[in-house]
Amino acid sequence: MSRSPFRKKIPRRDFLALIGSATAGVALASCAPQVTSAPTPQPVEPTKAPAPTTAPEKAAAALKVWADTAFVPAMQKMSEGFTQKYGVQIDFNPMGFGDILNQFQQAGPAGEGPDLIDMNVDWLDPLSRAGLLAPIDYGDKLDKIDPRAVTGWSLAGKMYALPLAMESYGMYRNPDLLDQPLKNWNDLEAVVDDLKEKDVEFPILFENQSYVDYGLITAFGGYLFGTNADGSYNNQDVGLDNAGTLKYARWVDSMVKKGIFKPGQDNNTCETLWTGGKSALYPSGPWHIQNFKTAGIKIQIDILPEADKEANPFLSVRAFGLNKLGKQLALASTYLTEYLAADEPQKIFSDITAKESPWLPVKDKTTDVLIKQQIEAAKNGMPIPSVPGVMSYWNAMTDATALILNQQGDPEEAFKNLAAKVREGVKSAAG
Amino acid sequence: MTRNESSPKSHPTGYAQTSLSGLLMRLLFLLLVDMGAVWFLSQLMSEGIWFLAGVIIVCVLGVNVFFISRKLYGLRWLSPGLVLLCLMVIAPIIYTVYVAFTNYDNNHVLTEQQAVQVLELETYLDEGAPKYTWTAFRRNVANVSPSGKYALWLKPPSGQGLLALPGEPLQSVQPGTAGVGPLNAEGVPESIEGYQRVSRVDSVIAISELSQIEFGQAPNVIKIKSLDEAAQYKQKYAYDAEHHTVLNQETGKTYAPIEGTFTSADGEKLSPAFFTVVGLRHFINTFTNESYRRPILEIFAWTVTFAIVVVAVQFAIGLVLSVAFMDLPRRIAKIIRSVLLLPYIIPAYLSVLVWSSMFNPNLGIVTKVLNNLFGLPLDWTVYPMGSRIEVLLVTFWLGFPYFLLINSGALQAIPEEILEAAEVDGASGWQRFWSITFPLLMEIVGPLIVLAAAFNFNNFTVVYLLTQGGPPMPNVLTPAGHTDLLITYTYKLAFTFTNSEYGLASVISILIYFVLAPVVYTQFRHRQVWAEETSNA
Repeated sequence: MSRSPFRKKIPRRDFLALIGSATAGVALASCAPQVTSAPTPQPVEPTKAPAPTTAPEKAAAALKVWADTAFVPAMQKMSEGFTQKYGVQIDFNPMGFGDILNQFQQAGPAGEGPDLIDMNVDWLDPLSRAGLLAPIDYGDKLDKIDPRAVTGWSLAGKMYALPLAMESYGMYRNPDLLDQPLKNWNDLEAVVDDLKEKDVEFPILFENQSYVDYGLITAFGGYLFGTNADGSYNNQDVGLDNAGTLKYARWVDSMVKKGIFKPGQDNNTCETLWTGGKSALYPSGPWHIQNFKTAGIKIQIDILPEADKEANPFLSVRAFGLNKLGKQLALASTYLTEYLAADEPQKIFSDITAKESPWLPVKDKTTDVLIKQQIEAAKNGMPIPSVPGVMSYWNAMTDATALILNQQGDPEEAFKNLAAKVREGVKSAAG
Repeated sequence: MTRNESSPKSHPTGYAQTSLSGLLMRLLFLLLVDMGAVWFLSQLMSEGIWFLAGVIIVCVLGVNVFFISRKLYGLRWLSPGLVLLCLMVIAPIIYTVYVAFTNYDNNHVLTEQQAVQVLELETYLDEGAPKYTWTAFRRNVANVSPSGKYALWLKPPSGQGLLALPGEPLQSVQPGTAGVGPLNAEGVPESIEGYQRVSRVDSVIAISELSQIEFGQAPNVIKIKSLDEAAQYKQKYAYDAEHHTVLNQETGKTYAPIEGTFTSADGEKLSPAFFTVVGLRHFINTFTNESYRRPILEIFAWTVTFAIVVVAVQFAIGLVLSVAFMDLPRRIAKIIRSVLLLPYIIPAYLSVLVWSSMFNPNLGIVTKVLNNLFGLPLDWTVYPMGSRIEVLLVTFWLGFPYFLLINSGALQAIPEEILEAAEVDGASGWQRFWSITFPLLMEIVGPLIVLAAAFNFNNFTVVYLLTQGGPPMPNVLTPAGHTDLLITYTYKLAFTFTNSEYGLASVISILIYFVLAPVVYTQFRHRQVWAEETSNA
């Protein structure tokens, strides 16, 4: 339950899957009429409607997609127009999101991969280095995609994905207990004192979660990898032992010593405490929304507090990628550039999954309050780095934070060791 | 075969009695097995998966020999078991040892052939070679092969359009002549004689077929890459099978394989990398690199302590309870014993997770009660010693019913007469227990204790579900924790660490083998001695 490895891993990499599965069903039901009433895309040349001579080819063509089970209903809905117009079936093979990367790495080179895969932004490096992703040319349409999604999915000026959804995290606030957002981490102590006077048992929840806690590090001036001029990450520049990160380490240590941050607050514990109304603040991601709603607790999502600077939380960008070794590469590429890179399918996907759309024309017209709060919370987000060595961050960061929470050794040493582990990871991943 | 048939009477065994139909059935069976094997082997070999292919060859040859040879007739019925033993036990062991000598990790999953196949798909365009936009025209004649079915009108970024047909050089045709109609607003001929223009929608439908066709005359071949692009792509990398090198045909650079990566003389590396033997690197790292060695020694010491303490305490609890039950009325003893077996019956997976939340510093009932009663800090389980005690307590709980069960059984098997004789001789209860009951008991349950220790040595479930090996050790470069057993540490190295260090994980698996093998061997020896004694009696 509380410390199960499966639970712990999910928020880090599969968080979109989680919230997707939680919301897809409900959203699907509520959006269904809207989707069906949407006008079907008009053929480019209406006079040349499906000619009888092409019928046999139509039946034969089908694209295979490996996709996250939670997203499949939305993907099917958004692809209906393509099948109608071109007679090409899209077969979605529902999978656990975490399995897709691994299985594709094995099946792809053997020529047994699908035509398209559903993937997250930190897969760009392993998949492109394995020679499994084909670049996609969008032409002018590239301007309609959120620049952060483009940067995250680009390598050497080439774009390798069709972004479908973006997600980051922020600060949950219980408006019944605290009416103002926490703007700066330096105000935390005062706010906690006030809340304690109001008998709030756990004023703030601090989960040892390397994906979310990264947002806190950045507020103090720390970072995982530095960036190059073009916005790409430079894995030779590890900032996990710079002055900012070490200040963060000392700050967490002081919060633990004052009893504000407590060890053992994992995902489940936090959810239980939060839904019990015992807590007013909780930095975390949208994978909790469904459970919080079910528990009937009011939530407000604020942007992460600043400290010395604004926070730059990790930004996740879910997308479709092209299997470079796929037998129908040209057709699969057409499906993305000609059909999915357009308002209509992107809107369908965003509506059903209730996520921030990377397609700017759709994102700008969002009306849902909670999605708008998430978009605001994610506005300073930076794509999860996809460079060799990033994989060594996740568990090592949890360990470093655990050492401080458990008050074992010097907090600065814990983060210096974390930086050493990441540098070691960069070295071994590149070799 | 004919030899077998000609002398059916010389062997009075079942084999010789086989009828012709039996023989045919047997041959048919072998034929099916061999056909399946050949198909499977061809698949494996084309992928370059030699190891599995070798194992399967051994298995199939074995099955063939068992079914044909007279002497090995008896083995025929054992062959499914032997094949499974080969595939599931022996092959993985050999493979683990092999992996320990390779660079197998997340970045080195492909075989050399697979890596070459991926590289050979890379293409390049010559300097200045144009990228065309294209329009397809389909022939009006029915039933032509796909390659003769289409013509392509190619439009370069600037300049005049070209007509491309498969197998013929590109033609620069003046629109309005040679059957090519005048150009429309997009610069595409309105008609080509004998062909019908393919609309954009239909081009999408036919694009898979179109992208397979080579337009133009070899070697100057134009291929369609996407709906808006066709060009004369050339293969970028060529593999030299003799020297195992890769040639970049664009730049002329040669890349030689170095530790699983094609590397040029000036150090440029090609991806993907592939897995290959790198020798003793992981062994050397394990034993010489301080940041690897220290956690392993500490984890090893804890693993041994854990196994011994757990078994000793579980056995003691089980023994005390079963002795206590001997004096209780049978019915009550039965009920209590059934209840006490519960921890053993409930799946460990569930109960460990429940225990984990009961020990939680924020919400756990155990930590709260201990805090109220003894003022123990709520977060004692997050400290190294506390978490080890937590793991031990839960493992005691999960394992004692097993010893309760076997101890009560074993105690009942000890003859009453011996104890009565001792009583007559004037031995006290304490003396009777230590001099008679306990030695006899150990005789019976000794092997089971050894096995239980070996089991707990690899008790992955409890540790991984309860603490995941945490809390972490400070200042090490691997994901080592204070409650990690060798097996959980191995798992973390192989599956949750940076690059999935399968090689390093294999080294530790081998270490586990060398620790456990003598233990199990001693246990076998012990049983042998015991068996000899009983057979002599």
